[in-house]
Formats: sequence, structure tokens, C-alpha cells
Amino acid sequence: MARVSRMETERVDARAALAVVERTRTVNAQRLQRPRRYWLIAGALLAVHGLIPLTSGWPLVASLAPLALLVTIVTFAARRQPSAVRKMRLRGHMWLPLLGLALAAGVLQAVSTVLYGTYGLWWTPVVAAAMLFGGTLLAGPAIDRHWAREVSGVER
Amino acid sequence: MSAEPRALPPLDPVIHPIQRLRICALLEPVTEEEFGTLRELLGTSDSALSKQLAALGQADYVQQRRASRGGRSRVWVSLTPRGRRAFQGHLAALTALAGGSEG
Repeated sequence: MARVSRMETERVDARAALAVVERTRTVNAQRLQRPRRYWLIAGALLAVHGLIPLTSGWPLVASLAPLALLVTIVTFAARRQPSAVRKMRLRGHMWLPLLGLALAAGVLQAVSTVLYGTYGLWWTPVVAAAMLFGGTLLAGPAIDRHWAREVSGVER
Repeated sequence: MSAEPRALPPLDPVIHPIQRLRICALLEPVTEEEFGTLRELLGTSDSALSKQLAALGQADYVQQRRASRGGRSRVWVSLTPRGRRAFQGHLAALTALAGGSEG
């Protein structure tokens, strides 16, 4: 009888401990999401990069302007970088959404560069830059939310 | 004569205290976490957290490193591979003990 009672107590304790772990995982899933400014910075970097084809005919000094802008954004990002960026433990397949985003950005940039170089359509790099910025701002937080939930064990 | 109940996996006495369980759960999804952030998340004091980390460190479940960034010295805490295994084992034991319905 005493043994059964002890086992029941242990069972209740174990359930309480598991509930604590579950609550902590929910906290992790929230706290590990990067602030929106991180994706704003990433989108700005890609957008400036998308505008680089426009500078192909510019004088050397002027064509360095996007590079200077990129350096400025990177410097700002390094100072304001959210610490969670370095901390999440990403595993295997979790890199796929990021690779997909990078691939889409690369294709968009390549198409825009070819269109601008071949037909001189000045607006293509501008549209590409806007799409890169908007796409990063939309897809980034969604990928991040998925990562945070997965590493926290909320989606397992 | 009644049959003996099936043997359950053992609980880890080092991780079992709730604050240490929370520390392990907070460290599990990250490569490392800052001491100050852990303290805030746990709502505890420096000394209480240090005490719990020392107990986990003695079992080689966590490690700490000091690093300076932007002129500020910070202590970073991480679970060791042994600590990760122990935490997973402890969760499995808790789940089994709870009746396998949670976790």
C-alpha cells in the first residue's frame, strides 16, 4: 500500500517536472526568435546588393557608394546584432529554408542583372531590390519562427 | 505472488531539482547562453544560479567560459555533450514514470 502511494507521488512529481520542461520550451520558442530589425538589416543588405548592376556605368568613385553602404549596414548590424543569432543550434534539414531563400535571391539577382545588361531596363534592378527587401522581411521571420519552435522541441 | 513492476529508467539526481531541470531545458536548444540571461529567465539571484551551475558543473553537465565583448565581460554557459545526454535520459525517465503520456 505504501509502495503504491509512493509510486503515485513519484508519478505526480514526474508530471509536474514535465510540465515545467514544457513551459520552458514554450519560453524558448518565443525568446529565440530574432527581433524584426535583424531581418530589416538582412533585407537592406540584399536590396543594396540588388541595386549594384545600376552602378556598372558609373565613375569608379561613385560606383563604390553601394559598397560603402553595405559596409555601413554590416557595421551597424555587428553592433546591434541580437545575441540569439549565434546561439540557436540548427540541425541538418533546418538549413533548407535558408538555402531556398538564398537560391531565390540569387536567381532574382541574376535575372535582373541579365535583363539590365542586355536590354538596359533600368527598373529591373530596382524591382529586384524591392522584391529582395520585401521577400526577406516576409520570409525571414517565418523561417526564424519555425527554427525557434523546432529547436525548442515545440514542433517535435 | 504478484509480478514485479517493469524497471523504469533511473532519474538523474543531479538534474532532478526543478531549477537545474529548468537550466538544462533553457540550455538545450542553444549552443550557449549568457549567465545574466539565464538568471533573468529563472528569476533567481547570481549566487543561487552559481550554486546550481556548480552542481551541474561538478557532474560535467555544464561548462562556463568568460568572454569580453564591447568592453563588458560576460560569462557564457553551455550544456556539455554529457549534459545533453543526461538531460535526454532524465526526460525519458520522467516520461516513463509519468506513465508515458507526456513529454
